[in-house]
Amino acid sequence: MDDERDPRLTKHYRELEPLEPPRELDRKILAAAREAAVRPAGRHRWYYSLAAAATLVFAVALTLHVERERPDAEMSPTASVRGEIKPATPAESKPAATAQAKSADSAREEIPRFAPDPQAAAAASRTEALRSEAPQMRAEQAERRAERAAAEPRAAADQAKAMAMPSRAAGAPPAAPENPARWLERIAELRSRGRHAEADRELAAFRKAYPDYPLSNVMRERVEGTPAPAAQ
Amino acid sequence: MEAPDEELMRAYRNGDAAAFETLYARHRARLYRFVLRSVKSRAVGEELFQEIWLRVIESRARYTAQARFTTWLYTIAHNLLVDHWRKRGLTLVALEGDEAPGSSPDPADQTQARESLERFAAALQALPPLQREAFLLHEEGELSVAEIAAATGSNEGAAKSRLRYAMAKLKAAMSDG
Repeated sequence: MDDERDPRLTKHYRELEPLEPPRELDRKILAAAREAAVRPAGRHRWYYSLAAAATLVFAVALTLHVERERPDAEMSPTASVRGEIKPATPAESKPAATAQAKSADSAREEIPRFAPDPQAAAAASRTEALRSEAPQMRAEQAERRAERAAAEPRAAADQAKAMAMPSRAAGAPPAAPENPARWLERIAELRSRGRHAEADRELAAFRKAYPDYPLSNVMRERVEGTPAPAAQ
Repeated sequence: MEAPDEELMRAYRNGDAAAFETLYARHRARLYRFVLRSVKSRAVGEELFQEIWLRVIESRARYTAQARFTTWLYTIAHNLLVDHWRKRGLTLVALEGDEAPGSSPDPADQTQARESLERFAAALQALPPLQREAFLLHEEGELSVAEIAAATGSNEGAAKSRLRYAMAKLKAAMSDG
């Protein structure tokens, strides 16, 4: 029988009451169809649009975050780290030192995430070593500075001036052998700013001028840029 | 040349409301009769009819023209009817002669029926739901046996058997006159 129809049966069936949906029902259904036609078809499309928008927002936020963080990480981890042990000027306050320490902390935490290259990793490692000795170094520096300020008020003023204009002070080679302590401070400053080639030149010149000048471990570390050897 | 149903449905899926109006006009009367002759109450039938079209509207994004639009439409109708029958406690799993009886007309009315058309209508109402559905899908939906099987989620053998039994009973009702 498959799809064969019985014409007599079909004829009888067609003669039954001719049912038609009422106009009101037609109107309701067509109104619903028209209303739906102006909306995006289906929940799936809506869902995918929302998911795409959320992904885009997340990607933009992540990019902005990375962009904001990158300068800190790329600003030579050594610079921010050495900034912590930068000789404090007499005017420096304790909160500032705390802020620097925090900055060093954050740099130490961020470096592995955003600058995973070996150089940065080495810098981070140096940072850690330096950081552990920072309080002691700061105490030593403050002590030395106080002594110098008492003995050489003018030298202290010069040093403050040099700190205020680091590029000129750090860039200009000394015309004549200067006070060795000041010279070392200047070399340490160069090192802290990442100007290692200049620091190396100055250090060589310093050693030539003062071959027997005793260097403390902390000072050696500052001017050479390497971790201090174990305590003697 | 008229656009095929499948093309109209795709156009509606893409936001063309006029395509739906054409589609609706083409199928409204047949679907309405199919539904109303599958249930006892006109009010329930109209409610189901509206629900079927609302399902079509809501499901437009998922529509794929892999099968005929008519098969898809009557599949939706079948699913809603099955829900309706189940709510009313009708058993739908039995086949052929063992199938649960439909809404039997009053025998007194049946014997008093003088018109063969009335007997035919009464016999149609007396068919078990799945047999009646198979017959209505065949007549109103113009579905083949394979399409009836697809729309009702059964196999071709069962669909063919239901249709055969339905047609035999209806022919018998006509011959009684």
